[in-house]
Amino acid sequence: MDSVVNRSNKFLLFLIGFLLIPGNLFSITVRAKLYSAKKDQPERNLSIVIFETKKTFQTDKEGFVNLEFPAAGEYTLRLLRDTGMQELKFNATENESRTIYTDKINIPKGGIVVEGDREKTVASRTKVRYEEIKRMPGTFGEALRALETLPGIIPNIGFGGGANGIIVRGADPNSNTFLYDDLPILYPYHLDGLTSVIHNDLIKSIDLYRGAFPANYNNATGGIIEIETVDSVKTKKGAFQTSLWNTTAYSATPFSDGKGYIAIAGKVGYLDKTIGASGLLPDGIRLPRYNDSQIKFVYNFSSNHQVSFYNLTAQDNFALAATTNQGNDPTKDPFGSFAGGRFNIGQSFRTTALRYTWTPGDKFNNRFTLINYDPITQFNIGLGSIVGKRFTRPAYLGLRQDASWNITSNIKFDFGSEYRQLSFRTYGEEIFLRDPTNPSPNPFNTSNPDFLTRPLNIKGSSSYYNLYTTIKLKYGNFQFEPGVRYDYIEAIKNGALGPRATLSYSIPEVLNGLILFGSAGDVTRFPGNTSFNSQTGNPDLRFEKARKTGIGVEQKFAQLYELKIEGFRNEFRQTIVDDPYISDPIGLNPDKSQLATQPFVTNRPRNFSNRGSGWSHGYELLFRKNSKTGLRDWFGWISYTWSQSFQNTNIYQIYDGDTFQYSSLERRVLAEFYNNSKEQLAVWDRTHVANVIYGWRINDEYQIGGRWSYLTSTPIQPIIGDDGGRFVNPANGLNYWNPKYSNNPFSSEYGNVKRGRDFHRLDIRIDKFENYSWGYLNWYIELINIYIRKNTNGESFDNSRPFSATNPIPAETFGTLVLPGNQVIPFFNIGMEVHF
Amino acid sequence: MKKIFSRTKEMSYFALVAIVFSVINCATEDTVAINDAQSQIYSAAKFAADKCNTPLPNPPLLVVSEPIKRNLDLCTIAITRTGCPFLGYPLICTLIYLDKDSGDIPWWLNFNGFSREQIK
Repeated sequence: MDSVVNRSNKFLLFLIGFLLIPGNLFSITVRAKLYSAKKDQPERNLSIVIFETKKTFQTDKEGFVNLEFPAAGEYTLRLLRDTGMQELKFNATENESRTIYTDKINIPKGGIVVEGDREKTVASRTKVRYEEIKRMPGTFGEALRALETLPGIIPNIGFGGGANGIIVRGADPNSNTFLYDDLPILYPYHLDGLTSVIHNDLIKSIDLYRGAFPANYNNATGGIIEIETVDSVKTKKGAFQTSLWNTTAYSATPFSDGKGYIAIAGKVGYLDKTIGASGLLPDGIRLPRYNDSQIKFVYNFSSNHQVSFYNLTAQDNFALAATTNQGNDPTKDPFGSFAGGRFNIGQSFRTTALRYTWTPGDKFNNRFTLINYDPITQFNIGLGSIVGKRFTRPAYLGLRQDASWNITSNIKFDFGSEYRQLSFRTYGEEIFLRDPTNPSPNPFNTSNPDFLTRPLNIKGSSSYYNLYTTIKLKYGNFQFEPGVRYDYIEAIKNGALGPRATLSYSIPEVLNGLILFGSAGDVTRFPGNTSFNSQTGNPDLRFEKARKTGIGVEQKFAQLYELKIEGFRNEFRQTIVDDPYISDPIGLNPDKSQLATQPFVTNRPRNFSNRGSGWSHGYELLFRKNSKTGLRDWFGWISYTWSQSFQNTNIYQIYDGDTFQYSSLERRVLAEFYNNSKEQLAVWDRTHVANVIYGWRINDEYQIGGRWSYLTSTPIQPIIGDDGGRFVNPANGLNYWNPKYSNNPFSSEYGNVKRGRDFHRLDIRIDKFENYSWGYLNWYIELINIYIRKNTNGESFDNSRPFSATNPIPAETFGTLVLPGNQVIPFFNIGMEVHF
Repeated sequence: MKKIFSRTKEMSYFALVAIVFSVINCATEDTVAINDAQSQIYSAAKFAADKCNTPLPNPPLLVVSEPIKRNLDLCTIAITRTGCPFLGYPLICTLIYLDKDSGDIPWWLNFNGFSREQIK
């Protein structure tokens, strides 16, 4: 009925146009059927834009559409899919009926176009296109930051290293895996917490998997963030961007008549030379310095053989040296308590990969990737009795194979394997607590130091392998995708089996398509460090595991709108935690400086165990309006997540009132068999998370975007007092107060029970474009926290003063700027991009 | 097209007005509530008294109006750094009765030395 009305409306419009515009005398209507030869099915409910006329059409349930052209000639049809846009050239000659095969792609002379879009699971996955997120307000131009606005995601608000991860469905922020064209990267954001390690212009799309992700992905009990980069470069292009804290550049060019292309991008951060040199910061801080680079080289030898090469690097460091020159005004000396202290951290990674893809036909392709991954983390700290430095490098060389075989149009088979040779190295010092159960260790306790240091030198190698397979079965509107993977690490002699499955049923007759889906599975992770070493760690560690389940419904309507609702529950098991009790009855002395005098020690601490557990549950809602690709259109989404996350270390606790004198052996036995720790709200838990996103390209010159975010504050452990200021910082003679927390599990103040004010903020971004024959300039201003709300995130305790009603105070997040004279303005960012 | 242009201008105007508005309206002195200020002074005085093994000085230092945060912080820090015996509050604590920021401490004034001067 709808299409009948639609057609009669179009007829009326056509009639009016016919009467008023003589030119319409020559218009042509083509009744076309769009058909996918590969899928062997019509293209249902597909939006099509005729680029020259900017008119939009949509295919019906049989793939039919009436395309109207003003005159005979060649036109460009843009097929707007969820996964991206496809262009087809169409020659309209006369009023006729025709079948258009959507798999038919214009191939440059001698070149090959490899179709990058593969079918992806509908369950617990959200895809965002680059155009939608590139200019999102509040992201400081970083497309990757837009992930924070998707359902199921809790952002790490703040500024700096703590803002480096996202929380996916209540999982630990460190348990996600970020992939760049299926290659590993150590960290997604630089140390400033604002800037990603990937150049924006290389990003084609980002897929966020929140549930039981497909078996080809691994090493995450949280989410998988798959960043797909540009997979074709048809003309030379470049971009240059500069802002207050960094400069980025990008260049890409095809070569060999379109047979290959190379894309190079890089970024240099100079916060320390702009904001750091402004005099607004206290003495002693050297803001983060960073750089990154990405090279992608692709060459197609023939339609069957493609070779690609990647080199991805990033490097970050940050330093703080609290001056011992005590200022005359103590209120202007924020590091007075830490005077004489120094701290610097560094992190870097290099991922080099050579990939060969063999595509003998439409039904099969196989890919081999040789990967050299070299992550490095290091720190150097000196504060009272906390003194030490460490360098950790868990590198590997691996060979990976991924194949996909379309046995029939209803059966698809994915399988793959990987072998890695791990080579790990850690050296420097190990800083440890004399009493690991001490909740408030004091760094300035020099008479009987709470912190001790011993030399550390670990090196070794191990093998790691994995295998996976997924079968995708279709029967009518049913789709069933069972999968399984197995991972094994030789160093810990532990393997993990991870079965998973997704079931979906689509009903295309309901509006523009209704899909019901559910997924469940076990996923695993092993941290990329050396906690499993046999000298200071636990060689019997096992994989961390999570069981993920979820059900949902997705409804598409009115061409560009969609509503997705999902409920989930995750259970986390065998989580690796610091364990002060686990030990070997007898072992090599971990302090190598004493090996000659005391080679063996009893109760050699293993420091880590798999005792941690947790769970989370919640529901997500996403209402989204997609933009019409290639047209000026508005887009946006409203996302809402309700969730709860809990954790339990399952480590034996000594509570107030437990005055019984146990021997250390008795304590260990108790710790092994008596679990008295309490389940706590996870420190990243936020009950409500909501986002409203809006973007509108007004005309050729202006674009405007808005973003409003609302978050419940995270739970914190309330500070109930101090230690009486018993210790003095020897560098300046000032007293140091250590905060005190409740250690009574029956008290209302025990654990993560206190929440601060809710967080909400409105950000606006205005873009101005200046178009030239060689490209365009993009000026932008971002206004953060436009209504200047003093948002807070946790509490901050000033160690230079005793506990009182004003200490601790809620810790304010960045989002405003305080000018001289206490004038407050919204935080802002001004930048410029040149695209040529 | 003209309409779109004027809309864009309107929006830019709105953003600018918002900034100006915020700049004008948020230039205020940071003060501390009376009870909170009293708690802050008490905790510092308790520390000093315990350190010196003396009772809290009498008369107590009472906060009568919301003090400027920086003035209060200077007083609190002075109390924690005051010498023994702790018989009176540091002279600098008179700042809590000022309704203006005390401004920068002159370079020739040794704050630590000055904070030991007690009003007994």
